[in-house]
Amino acid sequence: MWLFLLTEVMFFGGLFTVYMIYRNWYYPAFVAGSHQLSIPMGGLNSVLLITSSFTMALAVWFAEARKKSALVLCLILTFVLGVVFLGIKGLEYKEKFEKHHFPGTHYSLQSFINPASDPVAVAAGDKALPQDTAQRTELFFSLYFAMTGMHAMHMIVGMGILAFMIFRARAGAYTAGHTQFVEYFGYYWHFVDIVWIFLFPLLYLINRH
Amino acid sequence: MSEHSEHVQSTSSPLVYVAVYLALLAGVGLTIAASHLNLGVFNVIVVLAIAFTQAGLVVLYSMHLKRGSLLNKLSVGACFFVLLILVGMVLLDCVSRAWGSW
Repeated sequence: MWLFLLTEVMFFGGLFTVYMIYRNWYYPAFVAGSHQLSIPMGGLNSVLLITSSFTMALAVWFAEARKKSALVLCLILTFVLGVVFLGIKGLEYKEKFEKHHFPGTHYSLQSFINPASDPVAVAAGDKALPQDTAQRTELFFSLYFAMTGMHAMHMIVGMGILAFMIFRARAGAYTAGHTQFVEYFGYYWHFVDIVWIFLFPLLYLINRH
Repeated sequence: MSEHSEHVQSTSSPLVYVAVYLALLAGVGLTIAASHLNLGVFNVIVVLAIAFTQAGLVVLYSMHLKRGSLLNKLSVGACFFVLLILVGMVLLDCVSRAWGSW
């Protein structure tokens, strides 16, 4: 399990390296792009994911203590918190699509060339960017969607396994001494939590003062 | 072995998880607060320092690496060392090749 997670570290490490280089090259565009993201929504998602990590850790503990109903409850809580996280992420994505901030042919530079037209940019006190700099915001959103999208995909996979585990745990599979599956899944879930711990400050909190 | 596992709770006490949980929540609050201060280049350093501390707590306590085997510890250490080399090489390439001419 550790080896699998270490390959995942390499995978996300590559994404973070790309992010680091482009952020240094096109810093003003990354600042303007980051200001489009909602700190309350991102922060709430951080709290939700950290809480789900906590309930997962408790699930492992209850499995080892052979407390079936508490284990099932913790697994269900972890699952529900994951659903809410993805729901909020979905709302954020929806807003980006509506504002044409999803990279591609319909990408709109309006919020960056003419910040007065966008209440979010006005609230952040953004100044108008020159055309070429504004175009680089598309790179920020490409990375935003790639990184949070890969993270969300890991969560969806994890929730599939969680659903399977809830089903098996109800049948008493993990409370008879064989807890390894729950423990290893816990490692995976904590890893997904760690990725978000880095994504949140790096994507949402660029130059907020 | 399974006869003994009833008595041997291999996982740490749940109190450790509560402590880690509260520390992580405090970390989120601190990160948001720190990002609103004007620290120049140190903003990203402070924010990353908090994130690495949070990640360290999760790996050591939630993922039990602290009381894990030496092999696991070495593997994780080696992974980050290799990652550091790879990222370092990429950065070296960028800095020496085209820095400032994009």
